[in-house]
Amino acid sequence: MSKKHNRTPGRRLVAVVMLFYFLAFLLLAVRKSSREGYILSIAVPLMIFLGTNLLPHMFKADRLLLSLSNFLCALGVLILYDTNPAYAYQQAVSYGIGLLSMVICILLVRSVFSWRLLVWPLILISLLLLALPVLWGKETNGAKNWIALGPVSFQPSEVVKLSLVISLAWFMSRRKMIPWLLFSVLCLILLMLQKDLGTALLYYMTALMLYWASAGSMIFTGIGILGGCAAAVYGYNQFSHVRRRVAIWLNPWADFENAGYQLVQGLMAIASGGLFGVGLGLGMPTAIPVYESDFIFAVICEQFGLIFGICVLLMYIALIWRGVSVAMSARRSFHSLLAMGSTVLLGFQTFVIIGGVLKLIPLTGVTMPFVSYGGTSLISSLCLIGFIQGVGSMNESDLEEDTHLAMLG
Amino acid sequence: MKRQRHRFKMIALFLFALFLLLGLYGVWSVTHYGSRWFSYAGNPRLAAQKENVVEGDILDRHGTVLASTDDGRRIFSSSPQARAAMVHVLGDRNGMIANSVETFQAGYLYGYQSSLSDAVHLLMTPSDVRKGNTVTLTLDAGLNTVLPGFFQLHPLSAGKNGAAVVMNYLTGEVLAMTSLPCFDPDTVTDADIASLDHPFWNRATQALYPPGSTFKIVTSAAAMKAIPDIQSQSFECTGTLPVSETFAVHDFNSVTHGTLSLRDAFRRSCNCVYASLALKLGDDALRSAAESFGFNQNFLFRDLVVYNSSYPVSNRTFDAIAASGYGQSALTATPVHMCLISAAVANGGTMPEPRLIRSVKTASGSQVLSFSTASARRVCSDEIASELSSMMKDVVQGGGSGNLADIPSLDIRGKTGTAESSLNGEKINYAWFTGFNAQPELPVAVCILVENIPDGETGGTVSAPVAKDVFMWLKNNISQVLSSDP
Amino acid sequence: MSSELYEVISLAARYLFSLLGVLIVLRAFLWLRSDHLEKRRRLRHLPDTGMIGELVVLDGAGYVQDGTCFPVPWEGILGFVRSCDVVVPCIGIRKRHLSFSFEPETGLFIHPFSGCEASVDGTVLNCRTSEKAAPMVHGSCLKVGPAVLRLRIFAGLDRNAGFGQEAPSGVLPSPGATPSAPVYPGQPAPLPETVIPPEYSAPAPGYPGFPPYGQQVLPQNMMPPASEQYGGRPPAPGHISVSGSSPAPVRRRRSDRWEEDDWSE
Repeated sequence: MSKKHNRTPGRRLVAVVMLFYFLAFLLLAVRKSSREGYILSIAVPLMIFLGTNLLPHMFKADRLLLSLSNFLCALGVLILYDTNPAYAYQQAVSYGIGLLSMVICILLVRSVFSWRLLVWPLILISLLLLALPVLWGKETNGAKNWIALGPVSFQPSEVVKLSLVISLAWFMSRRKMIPWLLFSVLCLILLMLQKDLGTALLYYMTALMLYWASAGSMIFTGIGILGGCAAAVYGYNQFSHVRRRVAIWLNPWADFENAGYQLVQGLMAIASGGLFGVGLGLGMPTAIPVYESDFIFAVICEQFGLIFGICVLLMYIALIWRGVSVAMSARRSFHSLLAMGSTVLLGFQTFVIIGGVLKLIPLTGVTMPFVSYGGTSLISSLCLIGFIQGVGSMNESDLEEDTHLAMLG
Repeated sequence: MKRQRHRFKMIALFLFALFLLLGLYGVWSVTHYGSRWFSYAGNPRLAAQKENVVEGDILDRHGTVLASTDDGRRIFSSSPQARAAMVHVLGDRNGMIANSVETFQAGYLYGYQSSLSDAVHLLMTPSDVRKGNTVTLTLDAGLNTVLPGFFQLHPLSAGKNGAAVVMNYLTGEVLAMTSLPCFDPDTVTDADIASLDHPFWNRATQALYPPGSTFKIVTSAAAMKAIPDIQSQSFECTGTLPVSETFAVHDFNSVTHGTLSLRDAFRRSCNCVYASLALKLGDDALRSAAESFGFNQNFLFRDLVVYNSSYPVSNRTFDAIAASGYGQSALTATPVHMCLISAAVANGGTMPEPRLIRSVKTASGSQVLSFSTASARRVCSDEIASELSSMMKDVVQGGGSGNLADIPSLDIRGKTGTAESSLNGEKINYAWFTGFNAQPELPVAVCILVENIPDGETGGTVSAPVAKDVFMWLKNNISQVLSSDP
Repeated sequence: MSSELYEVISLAARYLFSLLGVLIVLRAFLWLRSDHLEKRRRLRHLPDTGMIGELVVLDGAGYVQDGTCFPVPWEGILGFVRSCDVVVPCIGIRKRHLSFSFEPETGLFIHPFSGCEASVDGTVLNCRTSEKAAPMVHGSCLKVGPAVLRLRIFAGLDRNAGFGQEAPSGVLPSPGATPSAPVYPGQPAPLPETVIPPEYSAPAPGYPGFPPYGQQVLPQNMMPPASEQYGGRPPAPGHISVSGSSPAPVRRRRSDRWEEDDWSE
């Protein structure tokens, strides 16, 4: 009976999502008069339907998380199809791989018995992966954090995110401070060497918040905060591109042609969108540099309007809410910390990038979790959702066990 | 685990607060600054729109065409004086004038914000050419055309740079605005541009000058607010007021005024009295009065871009405070702002928002934007405003410094000002006149600024005659001015 | 498709898309709310969910009434302040005294914090020796401060294979060992006699009348008959009352909700 109760709000949500994408892709197909568009307008809603209805039959996956993350991923594909179809196909492929990885992560969380054997190798591999770009990395946008392996290039910092969350949760639940502290500091140093300061900020915030939540000695948390501020000041004085970014944040119009160009174009795009947007397929989103990954929120606001942009923000809030409630229902502190770490990571990443686009905080090099173009980013975000879902499914199993036992007695 | 859960809740609240901040900031900044971002010069959307759309016409309030497009070329008025007089408001051919109507309102002129009904109409009536919207301004082309001429009529202001603003103080509509030096956008050459002094500046809205004695309006308002019975007090002026070892206040031409009331000091524009008033009131009181009159505020007018006037907030020495009493030290204001101050006094203490756009209509005639009542801010109380108004009446009609602006059949009130400043190390004086006509059948406020006047001349001798010409023209054309094409 | 026609359609569609976006958000939040209510409803019928057993007070040293039962979650902290999962308000117990975690098939592991001591079945543990110490099993006695508590593990947990629960050697846990006496899930197993230390000659505790946390009472058919000896209701946690019954737990004032002071650690 409870299953049916849960299914009805889910069904309606998925139906609306499917309708949205059907209409949107249809519109784009009509404009481009391309057959792929029509195919996509059937294929994408179908994929969403399968994604949100198939997986929960296999195990107790969280359907709300699935729906929302599918919506956001498909939104990314939609925007990319609108602006640059080649990217859209790559994104769709990554989306498929991401769904698979999500399933793997869910199974991982549910069935690994001895995390202790996994954690140490994970740490070593992660440090190795992070060290690779320092040695022979590809430099993009001032940060040297990509590795190219033939045709495929990926960002190791996105992959290391996963093992960071796992190892933080593991060591904090065992109350062993030194290993995770060492690992985090090493990761931060390696990231600073790669000049990937946005991801470093994310790692730092996640570690800090998880620490405060688990052991929570106020003194150490305070020391952590002070250390972070000191590092920020040091980074400001040391790195010229940090100074440049803060200057652009304060007044992008001063150097409109060069440094501030991206931010100004983004603001112009958001302003031209108004409340309801200029319309899908209209407007000029490609005028913004890097519109496909960092500034995709500006493109969304231009095409769909400010109201829709706020709705996207609220969807992320719903994701965070669900992640937190999953973390609170977990029984073992390892699982709850794992879920909370994933949630904090996703939430903070979203805040940082949207804040940068809206000129609330200086721009950093992070991408928007599900929407941005970027295979590694999409796959790692879906894996984090997979972690949350894994913990959620365990909570659900535990609860059902208890209900079952209670009814027997 | 309990504590962990509790802390999770707090972390969640923190994240929600961050997102809330994000949402609120986004909405606030887009609604306040969105149009300014959009109108910035480098917007490629406008450039693309320009490829497909013929720019709409700009009309004055009576329907006279100020700018139109013919066969791809922008055509301004037919008379060279009109073109030169309005070049800073409308814009020149190359977009060199910042925030002119051609650039700032490009969204309307190119029909960028087209609505659904408009697009439907366009679909129904296919034509080769898409035309942008027609923007009707509040300007009166007749007045605006002759405005630079008034400067040239008088030997003291002829050939000088400056600015003039005329507005309706009841509605906030700008009736005329001009900035000198001006040039004819059709016939100007590069050599002409090189020979002029910053010809692309719109000195009326985007140049800052020390207000000089016109600031005594604000000081008087601050004094009347802090000392209610100040009109009954008397002050002593000995021609010079020592403030500190390095600085002593002098009156103009070192005249000694003797015993004065506040009204007399205002009428004769006595610096010593106002310096002592400023010291007595204190910097904080004077600054808060200035801020309520619009200094240090972020002017985000819908139709115009006006630079912010400033009253310094830090490092205030006694010298500076005393000098602020009569509008010197580091105070700056634009001519539009000084006109708004007059308008506020005329309006019983409510400062209207300056409006430039009267309406925007699509090429087919449907209304996109119509004139709405201007938003206003309250700068002082009714009583203080009426006191100031009667003091300003004395300045013009009671034998004060502004008597050259007097016209017997009108009720002109105002304040003159002579501001001393330095430019590139050399002394430069500015002549101000700001005033209004107190009759409800001709509710206009005027501000005239002349740059670089010779020593010994004042706002009363240089700017007031120009203002008189403006009021005279208005009186002779009163019916035409106030009407408009709906 | 002419661009004007597309423009018209797109301009009309944008209102629809915004509406759909708002609908999706609304439905998502309604779903969150209904899930929350559903969870509350389910938990109301399962007051002991998430608990592996109880710690029964054998000797409260005057601070806690003997026979008080503290539900024990899978992992938690035992200490003096209200933010702990097991609140034992005795002088001599630190604000956060020890942390415990349960391993199915093994038992409850105790890890005292630095500077704190506890003894399990006579073995004294501190933060260094607790790593290698044997866990508490059903019937073990724990002495913290002046108080003595006995652990009672719910019987169903011994049989519970569970998902992803950690077994010490990574081997799949076999369905649990058969207890000596027939046990029904939800009922406490009878305590083996040998575990009771000689100095504590208290008889086998019965189930006192009311659980201490203001939770709902279990339905009558799941509850064994109340025992007379430890009658009356135990005091609400946080109250140090020596005398017998105390009034029903009143709604806590905000000021005494959390006593979080980590400076002692």
